[in-house]
Amino acid sequence: MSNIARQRGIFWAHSAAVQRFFASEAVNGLFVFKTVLAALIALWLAYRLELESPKTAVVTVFIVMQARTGMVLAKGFYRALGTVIGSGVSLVLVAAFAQERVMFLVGLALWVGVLTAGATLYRNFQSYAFVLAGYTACLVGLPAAMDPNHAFEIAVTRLSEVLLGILVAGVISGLVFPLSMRELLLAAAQKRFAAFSAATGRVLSFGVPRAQWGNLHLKAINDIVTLDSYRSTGIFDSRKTRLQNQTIQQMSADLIAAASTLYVLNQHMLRLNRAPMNPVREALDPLLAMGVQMFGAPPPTAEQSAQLATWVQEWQAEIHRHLPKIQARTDFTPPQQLAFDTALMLLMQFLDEFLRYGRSHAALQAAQALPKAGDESALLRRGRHATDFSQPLIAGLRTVLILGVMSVFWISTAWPTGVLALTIAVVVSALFSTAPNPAKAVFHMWLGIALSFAAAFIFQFLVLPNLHGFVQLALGLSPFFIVAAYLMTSAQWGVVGVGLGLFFSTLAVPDNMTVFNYAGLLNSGIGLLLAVSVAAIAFLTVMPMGNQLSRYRMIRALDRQLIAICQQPLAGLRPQFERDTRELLRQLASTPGLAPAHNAAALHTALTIQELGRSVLALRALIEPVAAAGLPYARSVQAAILALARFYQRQNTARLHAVQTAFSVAQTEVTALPMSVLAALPASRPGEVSATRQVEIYLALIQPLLATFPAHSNRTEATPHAA
Amino acid sequence: MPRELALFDALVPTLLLILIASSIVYIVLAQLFQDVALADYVWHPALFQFAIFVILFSSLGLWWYS
Repeated sequence: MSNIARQRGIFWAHSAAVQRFFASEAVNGLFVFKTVLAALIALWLAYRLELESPKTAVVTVFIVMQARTGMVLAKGFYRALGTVIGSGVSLVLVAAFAQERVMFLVGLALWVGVLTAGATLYRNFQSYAFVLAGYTACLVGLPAAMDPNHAFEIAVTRLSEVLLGILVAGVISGLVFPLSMRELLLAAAQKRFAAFSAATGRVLSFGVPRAQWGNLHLKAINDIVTLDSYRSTGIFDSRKTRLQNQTIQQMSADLIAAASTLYVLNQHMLRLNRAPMNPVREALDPLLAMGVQMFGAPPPTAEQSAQLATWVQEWQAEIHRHLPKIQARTDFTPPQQLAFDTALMLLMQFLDEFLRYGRSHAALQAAQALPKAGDESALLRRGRHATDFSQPLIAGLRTVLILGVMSVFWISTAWPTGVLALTIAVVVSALFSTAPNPAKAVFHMWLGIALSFAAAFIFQFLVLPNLHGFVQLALGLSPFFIVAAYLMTSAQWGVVGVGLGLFFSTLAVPDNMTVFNYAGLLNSGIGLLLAVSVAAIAFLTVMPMGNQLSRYRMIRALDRQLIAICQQPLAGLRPQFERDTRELLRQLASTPGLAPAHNAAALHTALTIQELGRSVLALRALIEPVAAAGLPYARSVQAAILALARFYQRQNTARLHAVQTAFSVAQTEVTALPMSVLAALPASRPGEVSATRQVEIYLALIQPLLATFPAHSNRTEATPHAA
Repeated sequence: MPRELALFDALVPTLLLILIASSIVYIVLAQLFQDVALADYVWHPALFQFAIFVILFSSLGLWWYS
């Protein structure tokens, strides 16, 4: 009996694996089918409309085609935008410098450099539009400059071909078994909610060690970035997603707010694990037990997530009921009392924020509108993300350099395929300057081009001479297209597939007037490989990813965030700080060239800055409304914050001492406050910690961070010379 | 009927103007459909909308050129 059951179990498990395999393979197969179909339809239409080079339409299909309809439409939209702008600029350049080759190239280099730099400031397909506007100017401008009398026609033809490709790819992707972004988005949101609940459970039980927290934090940041990219493409394909654009942004903002409080709570829980705080733990544990149990099992479905939110609400009410009894305890020493109040305050704040996050998440899952909430989301809508200006500068200069080297080589050798090689070198360097690991991507591209070179030879020598009519041509091209599209579905070899698809189409697809030009094919292939090699060398040598300078600049950018937190007006500062520091942290951590030790140090610095920034913000929010009332400690707290800003402007031992002294002075003043003054700051809600107590709590949260600082206080001086 | 129109001295195919006109009509219609949540009653919303656009554009074009 049990034997049969076991066999059955194995059978079912086996069948589930088979099902999963087919589910993913079906999506891949569908993608291959749609890509090949769209490429052939675009090719047929291009022949039918008698466009000059039908291959451009096919190339565009390979560029634009993605698994999900929303992605295709988004990429197509930005590609169209970039191509229109790029063509326009190339016409301006041709009109201005038609006779002057060098001036023309200088103007082109400037344009491409600026746009490549701009591309690193944006994400996803917006960044892609920048890249395209840059290199389309190259793609259209160079042939147009060779033949200025037909410049306008060249630009128009190019534009029609690209738009035809986009149109066909969009229509096929939207009509033939469309896959919506929406399930992907909801699944990602649910996954993040479950992961966040699990992390909350760990924090509430014993706290997560700081080293592990770094990884959790990075995963959370990447999840939020993914969610945002799904949102920005999802609005192209689903009406519901479009209507819920605001809700998703609100959910991300709520999630970030809750996560930042959770981090401070986690640090505090770690401190409570120490022996002197045992009575505090004993008092807290009964309060936390219910929460630990609730968050222990992460909710796998949307309904269970909504259920969790209602439980948390009940738990919150429960805590409120028990509060007076616990607060009446008097057997705590002052530090213990402070630690207890801190835990309570952070917990209540976190639960409020968690509930807000749970509500917006539930609204997203149920496709409901969110009741109008705060103004925070308005600030998060800006598409540009924070980075240090060294990043775009390096990317832009590298592209200019590649263009310069290739131009000099082209002009001085009068290379026949110079135009093609120059264009492709610029395209590759612009395209991959935003990739996480450009050198590897370029190498894969090189492989793809080499493959497509071989494939184009086979096609032109063996297949093409035997073909008659479009149907035979389509059948002859399909095997190559299928292989390219199938490679594109693989995570590991995706770039090789893209390279094969693009350059096989470029080299092999015959023009309207078919010419058999084997020498030309050989020349083009060699030119392409050479161009990509130059780009690869540039990526490896000219300020490669993770170089000392950009890492140093990124950490300085983080420092500047903290200075802003200390000095700028409070309105809207918190969401901006959270978003920008997270983005910088993500960029720092995703840099491939970084040694693990450097990575850990950078992570530590970033986490410290985030923790300091949050506490300073809370302090300022408490102090500034009442500073005018002349409270005695308000001025010393403000002085301490100012000292912190000065320390981050230029880090040295003297300034560190100044900060530490300023904070302990402020702490003493607040603690020594007579009870009568405490009434001046009313508690924000009954049963909660009073505002003065909160000031005290936040000062106490900042001090241990400052105390650990000497370990890396001289990093500003040391980093540029570090190995 | 003229196949090309002079627009600010540039010759523009009339079909382009018809395309723009039918796009405008289509956008108005799509907004209308969204207000009555038609997508919930249609099997393949994308195909439905695409078909509507094709009908609009081809009938306008045929009307103009016939």
